[in-house]
Amino acid sequence: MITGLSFVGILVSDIEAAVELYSSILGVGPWEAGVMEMPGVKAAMFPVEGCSVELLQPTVGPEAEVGGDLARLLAKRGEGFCRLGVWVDDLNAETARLREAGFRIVDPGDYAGFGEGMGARMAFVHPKSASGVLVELDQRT
Amino acid sequence: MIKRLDHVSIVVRDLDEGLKTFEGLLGVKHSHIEEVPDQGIKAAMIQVGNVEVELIQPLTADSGVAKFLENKGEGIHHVCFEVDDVDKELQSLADGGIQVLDKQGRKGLAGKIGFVHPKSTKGVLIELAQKV
Repeated sequence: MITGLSFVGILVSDIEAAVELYSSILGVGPWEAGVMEMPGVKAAMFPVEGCSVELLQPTVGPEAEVGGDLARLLAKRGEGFCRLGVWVDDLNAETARLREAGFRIVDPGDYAGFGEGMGARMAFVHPKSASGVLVELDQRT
Repeated sequence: MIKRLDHVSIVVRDLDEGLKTFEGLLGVKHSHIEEVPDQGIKAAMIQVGNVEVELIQPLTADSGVAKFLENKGEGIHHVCFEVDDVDKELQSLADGGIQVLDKQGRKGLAGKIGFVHPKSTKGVLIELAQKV
């Protein structure tokens, strides 16, 4: 089952400037790791009670296999919201339940998540089956 | 000072369809539906853990939400953070050079609320709410 919201993701074109801005708006800095380099993307996560705020900047072109989707989204729609993360207690059970209910699931398989000790296994619900919202399903590992 | 995230709001064309989708996805039924005539919307709340997912449908073609839907399509519309003192927060953001849509708090679904302009926040609409 889904146990809570994990994060809301915001796509930006200059993550260093965005981190500075959001530190001032939220009154809290990003995780100690600061801006993290990940495949195809740079990311920073701000801990907020209830649901964290994630900033993402694609570091690859629109044609790239990993991160290309975010680059295309940024080119097409500009900066703004790009996804919603939710915590699940059992990813396999949850993806099976959602597939059964007719949702389109994108499952990249095991994924070594974000930050020290914050590994997560993840899958996505395609925005076409969720009113335009890319939903990330995260299971703590 | 931001205390917590209160809700994430998603704009949909049809609230009944949107509810079917998100109640199915999240595995929770909505708690209530309200109309907010001065914002030109109908809203439904789904409680997920200690925060809410809000679905909104525009009721009039000239509302800000209707324009968003027309330009960008369905998707995440805004996030709302709970604060202790909405007037003070709006003032402090404005003093810091951030453009706010409300200089002072006003009555909204989430309490005494005010909005920050997406031009100042990397394209995202932020609502601040003080519980009353």
